[in-house]
Amino acid sequence: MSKTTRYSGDEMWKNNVEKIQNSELFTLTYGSVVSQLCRDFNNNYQEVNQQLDRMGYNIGMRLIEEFLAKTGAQRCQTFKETAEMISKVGFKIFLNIQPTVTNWTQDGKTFSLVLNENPLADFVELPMGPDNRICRDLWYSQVLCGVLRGALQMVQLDVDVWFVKDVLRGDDQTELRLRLNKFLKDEVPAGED
Amino acid sequence: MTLHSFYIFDRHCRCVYSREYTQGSDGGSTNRSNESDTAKLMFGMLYSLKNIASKLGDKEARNNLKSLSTGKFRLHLFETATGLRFVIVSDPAIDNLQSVLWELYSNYYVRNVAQNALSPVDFACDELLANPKFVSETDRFLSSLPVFR
Amino acid sequence: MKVYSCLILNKAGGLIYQNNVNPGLNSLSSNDFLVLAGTLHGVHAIASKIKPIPSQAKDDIGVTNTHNTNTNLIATGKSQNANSNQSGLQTIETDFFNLYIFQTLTGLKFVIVTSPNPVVHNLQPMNDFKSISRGELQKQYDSTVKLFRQLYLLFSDFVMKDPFYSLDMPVKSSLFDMRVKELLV
Repeated sequence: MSKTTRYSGDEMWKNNVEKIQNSELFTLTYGSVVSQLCRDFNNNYQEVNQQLDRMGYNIGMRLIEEFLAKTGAQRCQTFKETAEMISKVGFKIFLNIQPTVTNWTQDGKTFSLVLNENPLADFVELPMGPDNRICRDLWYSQVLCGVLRGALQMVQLDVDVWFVKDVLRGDDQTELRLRLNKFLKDEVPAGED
Repeated sequence: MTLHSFYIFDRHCRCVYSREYTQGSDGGSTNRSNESDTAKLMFGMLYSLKNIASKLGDKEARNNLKSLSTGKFRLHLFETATGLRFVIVSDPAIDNLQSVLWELYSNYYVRNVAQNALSPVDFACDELLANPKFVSETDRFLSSLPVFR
Repeated sequence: MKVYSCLILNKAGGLIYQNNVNPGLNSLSSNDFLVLAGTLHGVHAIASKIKPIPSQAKDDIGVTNTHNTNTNLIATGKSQNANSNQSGLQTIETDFFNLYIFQTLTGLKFVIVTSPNPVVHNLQPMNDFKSISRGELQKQYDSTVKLFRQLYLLFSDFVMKDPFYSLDMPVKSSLFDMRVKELLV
């Protein structure tokens, strides 16, 4: 399919040209990254989590431009609006899933995203060894936290993102939590309303 | 109101005339915002953009900056060879007021100011263009335009 | 409408990309373009601070506009206009060129220099005040917005996805150059 169809169409997710027919290659690639990191850091899972987060951060800083270019989204007025954009548009375009937004705190600054499916972790099972450290320490999809953090930072939102539950660890659902630390007002580009 | 205000800057970079048109009964202010930040910033913008226009334009012919716009307003500029700058601020929808600015200069300014022996043409540092005939005639001209609403 | 050149500025106002796709403008040195970019960045910000309309109390319209864009986006799934430049300098019209400035939420500015609008700017002053046109320049602006969207998509692909590109640095990708030329010529 020619590249021009991708740019002329209006509906963003309908035009995602699947150049690679098999999306499982993506799952395999991510899996090999995680397992290689575990080997490289000698099973120091805290370090692996940090690395995954850092990788995600770099990805997020770049991915935001594609998100903005494809969707034309404008600045959200409230953090609730941001949560909607992330779950209904962001995750839909890039991973074709739609997580649910729940567990808002009273001040409206923290919420949870519950992923009903996780393409990164298809077919994955954490080894249940005798010491069970991997189940306690590793967050397999930590890269997602980094991506969200990096992307939101580029649109002047300082957030913390972390995993709370993961089905790979035996929990009932996969849940991550986002907290808004502050809105970087000084870095907002001039000329917006 | 689609025409919001009218400014004249002289060749010494001073705002010698400022006229604002508002909906109220007083019809707007005259010469009240000559020293305002708006006038100064406006002049600065026009000066910088004029430099850009002449740098990017043709080497021989003079490239005149005609208008600039933001989402909220459009600024129309006409500059004479004597260094006078006539500026009108309007709604962004209005495309071209060059003819209006030319008329303001060639007709109203030349007759009431340049050809008026008792009116200064080179304004001293605290002098403004407050010639009542100029003000009333330009007001009448601008409000008679179909674009002025 | 011919596009003469395209510039991209990072959020600090530094020039990161410049491409003269069609001849027609004075050829400037790269230093001149750097200065030009810095000036435009500054003037763009100043324009948003000027309030030349005395009776303007319409600041909240902008807020509802962005909210509407986002709800439209979620409801229909259709892409919206990615330009967030509302109160900053948008366009400049001169005898020999028109210049358009588009800004993204991340602070990136896309500057597109095109040939002037023939309908609006004839060089002879007319005496006819009844036929002052309205909306012609807006039409040209709207068609340039489409170009901006394509450019932004190309940028998010060929520049952002290049692992060897550091953010906010000058763009040295020949793939991107090729695509831009293809788009704008």
